[in-house]
Amino acid sequence: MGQSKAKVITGLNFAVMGAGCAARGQVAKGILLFAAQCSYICFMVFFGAGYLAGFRTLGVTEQTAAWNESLQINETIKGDNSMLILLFGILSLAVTALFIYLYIVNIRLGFKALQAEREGRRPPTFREDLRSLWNDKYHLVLLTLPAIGLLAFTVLPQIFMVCMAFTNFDKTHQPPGKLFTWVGFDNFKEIFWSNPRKSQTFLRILGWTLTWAVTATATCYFGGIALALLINKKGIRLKKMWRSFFVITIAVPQFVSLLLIRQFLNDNGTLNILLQNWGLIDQPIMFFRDYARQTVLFVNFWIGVPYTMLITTGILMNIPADLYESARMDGAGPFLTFRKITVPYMFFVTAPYLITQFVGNINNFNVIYLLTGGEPKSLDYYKAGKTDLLITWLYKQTVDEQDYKLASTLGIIIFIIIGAFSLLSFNLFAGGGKEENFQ
Amino acid sequence: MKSQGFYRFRKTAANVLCHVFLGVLSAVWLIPIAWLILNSLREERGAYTSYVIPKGFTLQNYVNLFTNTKTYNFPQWFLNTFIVAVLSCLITTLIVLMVSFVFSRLRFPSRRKLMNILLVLGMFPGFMSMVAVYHILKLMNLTQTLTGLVIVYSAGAALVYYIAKGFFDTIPRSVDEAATIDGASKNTIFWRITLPMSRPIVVYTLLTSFMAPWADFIFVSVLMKGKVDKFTVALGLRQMLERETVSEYFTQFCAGSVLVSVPLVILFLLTQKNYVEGITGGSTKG
Amino acid sequence: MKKLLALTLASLLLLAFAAGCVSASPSAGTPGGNTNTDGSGSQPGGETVDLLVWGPQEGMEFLNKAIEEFKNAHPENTYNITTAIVNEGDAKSRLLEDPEAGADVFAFADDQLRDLVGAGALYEITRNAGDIKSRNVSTAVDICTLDGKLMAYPQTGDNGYFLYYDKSVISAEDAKTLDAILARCNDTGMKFIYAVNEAWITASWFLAQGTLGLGDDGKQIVDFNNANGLAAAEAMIAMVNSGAWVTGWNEVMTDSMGDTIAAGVSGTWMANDMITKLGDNYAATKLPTATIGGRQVQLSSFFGGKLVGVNSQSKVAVHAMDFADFLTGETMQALNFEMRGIGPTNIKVADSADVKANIALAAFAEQAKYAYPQRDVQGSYWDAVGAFGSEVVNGITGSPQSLLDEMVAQIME
Repeated sequence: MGQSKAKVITGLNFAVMGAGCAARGQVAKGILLFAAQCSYICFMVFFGAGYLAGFRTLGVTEQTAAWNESLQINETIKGDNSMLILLFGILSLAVTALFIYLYIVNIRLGFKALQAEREGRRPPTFREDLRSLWNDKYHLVLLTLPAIGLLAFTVLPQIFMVCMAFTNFDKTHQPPGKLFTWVGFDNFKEIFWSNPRKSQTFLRILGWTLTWAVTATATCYFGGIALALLINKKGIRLKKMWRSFFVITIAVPQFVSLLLIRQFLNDNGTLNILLQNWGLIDQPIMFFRDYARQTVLFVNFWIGVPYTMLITTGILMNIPADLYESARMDGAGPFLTFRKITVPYMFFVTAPYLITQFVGNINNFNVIYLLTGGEPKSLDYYKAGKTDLLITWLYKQTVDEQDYKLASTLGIIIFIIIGAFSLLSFNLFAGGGKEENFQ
Repeated sequence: MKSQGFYRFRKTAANVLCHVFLGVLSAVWLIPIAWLILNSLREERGAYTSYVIPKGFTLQNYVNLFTNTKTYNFPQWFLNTFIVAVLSCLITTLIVLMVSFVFSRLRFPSRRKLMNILLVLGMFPGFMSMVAVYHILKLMNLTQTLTGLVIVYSAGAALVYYIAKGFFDTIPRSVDEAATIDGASKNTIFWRITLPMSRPIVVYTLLTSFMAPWADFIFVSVLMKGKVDKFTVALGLRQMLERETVSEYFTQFCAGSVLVSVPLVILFLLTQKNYVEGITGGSTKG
Repeated sequence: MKKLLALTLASLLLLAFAAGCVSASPSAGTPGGNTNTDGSGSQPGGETVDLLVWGPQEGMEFLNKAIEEFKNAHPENTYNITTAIVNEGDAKSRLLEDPEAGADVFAFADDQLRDLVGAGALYEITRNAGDIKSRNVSTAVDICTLDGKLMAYPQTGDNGYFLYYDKSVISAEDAKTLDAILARCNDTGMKFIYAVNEAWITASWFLAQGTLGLGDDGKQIVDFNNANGLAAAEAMIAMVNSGAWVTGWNEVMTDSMGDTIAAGVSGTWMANDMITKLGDNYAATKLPTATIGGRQVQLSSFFGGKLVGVNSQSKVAVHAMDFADFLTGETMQALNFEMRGIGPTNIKVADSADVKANIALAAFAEQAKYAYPQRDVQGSYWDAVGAFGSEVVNGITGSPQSLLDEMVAQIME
């Protein structure tokens, strides 16, 4: 091949993706690259361009109505839908970013093929590439499907949510009738200082959320370990039966079990009736008023203990026997053995579980929403109750109030707190060196 | 040997005490379940009774679920949920295993970074993005379909790779190395060697992902937009609790809940051992 | 590595392309002006019309019957009417998530009207408007009217609360004043239910003494923290502490009315349960008067109803309006009353002997004279008043005045 031809191909490769590869024998790869380019162009023409164009303003034409005399109706003339422009604008941006990356790869591939040709090597064939996929590059095969799922249904929606925090999307700017637009950091300002009522409520709920998460995690953790130890104790018969009793509660869907527990503990609920019938109390105990926070913690204990019990049972049975042996040789009693061996070992093995539990409790929507709905309401809080967690407060802001801007701002704050905490703790206690130790 | 007798007595007493204590605890844990069953057998209507034991017992609440399907099509909902649960637990398990295998067994650049990103991604409050997920599904023409529901339940599976990865980490690498020397590709190792050794974690993942669709009602209501023959049991049963219908249908709601729970309980009890081994893989072989 | 990543990305792009093509079908709107074309024209006949209708689960039987009747009444067109179950309370959320996929005709609770109109989700009702206004009671028409425009069809007019009581314990005379009810309960050891921790119900005390308005900026205006409001709060506290009052609401009334409960405040949805429970002793009337600030004051309440709206994104708005008109017309309201005991808004149906003989609906109508339309109540109201009610039930420790001030500040926030 002459020098000029190489130049033409290189030039062509800039305009038509895959040309460089195809011209040098990597036909399949070339066709794939070209197909990607075609599909990107189609995508933009039919779909993306319109949304990208409106992305900066999030729409300019508001929906109106015009009188239609013959039909006797005020016909709707559709306007822009800010929400869809935002969502699909992000989608188009993401696809464009992918395309740009692909384009750079294409150029590199072209040069590599050219270089190989100059050096008289044969660039790898498509078949060779495919074969390496099953071996050296196997992670690409395995990660493709999960990555597509994540990108489309987790990453993209979450970017959308993050963006909403920088708009004025609320009840008075609700598509399709109204437009919303970018407002910068106004929502963060409102939560943190310009609206004292909101910031105070935010701080109070944050305080309770953290208290709740720490207490709920600790009680379930130690309760579960204690229960597992009790069932595993020498001399306890029918271990499997006892364990099964507690396991049953895991299998009942929470929206059912929590609803029943709510009825059970209500002011006029079954427990109060029983206690009154037995003459133990005169006045019903107000589980969901006077003791609401204790009650939700207890119910969460009820839900969480069986899980920890199951897990620790597994671990307890598998603490290396030689650890105990050497402790006994050193003359340690049962209590000391427990404190010096069982507890540290347990903590070491369950650290990741503990961290996941803590994070799960910060976001424990089900228990609060289905049990109390955040009640009892209180005037110390703005549109929230004493048992509301950040997550249930956020949910109410979207569903009841359609205050998406506030909710997504809250979402970001929750995310920063939890994300920082879990990254730090995972890499400190559970990640890092440990995985290699085991292998 | 008086002291030995005393010691034995103390030991027996402690044992009896432990059994009693376990009995009390079991009662606390089982009372709500027992109460659910009692309510499902109650003859009188009403969402609430000022007494504990029903005045009359009947199986009619269960029968109604299957005969009176015009208003509440329970059999259809049950079938829908079952289909969604089976499909989504298969896909979820496949994804979880693939991702965990990659992170545990394969080494490639940016692996650590990717693991951290996945870890953090799972911590965003999910329902804020529900509307976005809905519109993405609409792009794919999958709203008001069970397929859409399956996709949503399994698309995020990669985020919970952690436990399965912990399990894979405990399988000695020497097994892989031996296989590689024999000429096996990574693909072969994954399917032929690692997976067969991972029964507990496969069962664990299957079980946990099978249970999710039976409990979710929030996303289903957004996705199905009232298309009642595509409802799942959780959403359908919750319909019975509306202000206008709750006193009429509460006992049926309980009966339906029992019917949903029973298969799950059985499944859980049968696979308990695997569940424990799966989640504690790191220690059982450590 | 790079090459293989490229392959992955290429497949991703192909997927995106596939998604893009699916959505390029005309139903998914692209940004930019796009007029809704209504192919129907003004001449009726010969068309095939697809309509989607939302209604609550327990009203499906009625709705299906109404659809049959509508088809019979309009043989000139072929109607494919599908129904889906979206309760009136959820209609706003479900519709606004994706208005294009929403029903052409849907039932919703009246307090959603302002939000729906604000979101541009409703068609103004222009076809046959004069008749709609004249055939329904004026309060119901008012609820459907916003800024002088009729935005929905009144369908039911029975959302509110009044007093149910056990005739064998409380006489009709006793039922007129709260003091007499509480005294009679205390005499007989029975209890009285008035769910003051429910913002909807608590309102009756404040509304009896104060006013509720809506500012031009859409913010709620109330005066519940003045001397009158304080008197109302003190009267509430007195009732809670009377010894005859108990917490709980619907579920407790369904179970214990006539056994341990002698009277309770609830709405028409309880009527059937109360009739079964009380039998011959069943009675209902307007809310009693209460001693507030030394005077007897008639307790107020909210009233409202379910409305039927036409989706502004409907492609068959004319037919949707015609169906909604039929669905909320005289015959169908009579049928709705007959099948479900639903209170009508149609003047003729409301005047019919059957409706007048319905004790619960009569009590509702009587109370409606002292009631306040619920339509203009904003979200901030419910949270703050509910919170105050909860404080009352839990026992106020500080001064009621400062709580009232905070409540009012939160409402007007």
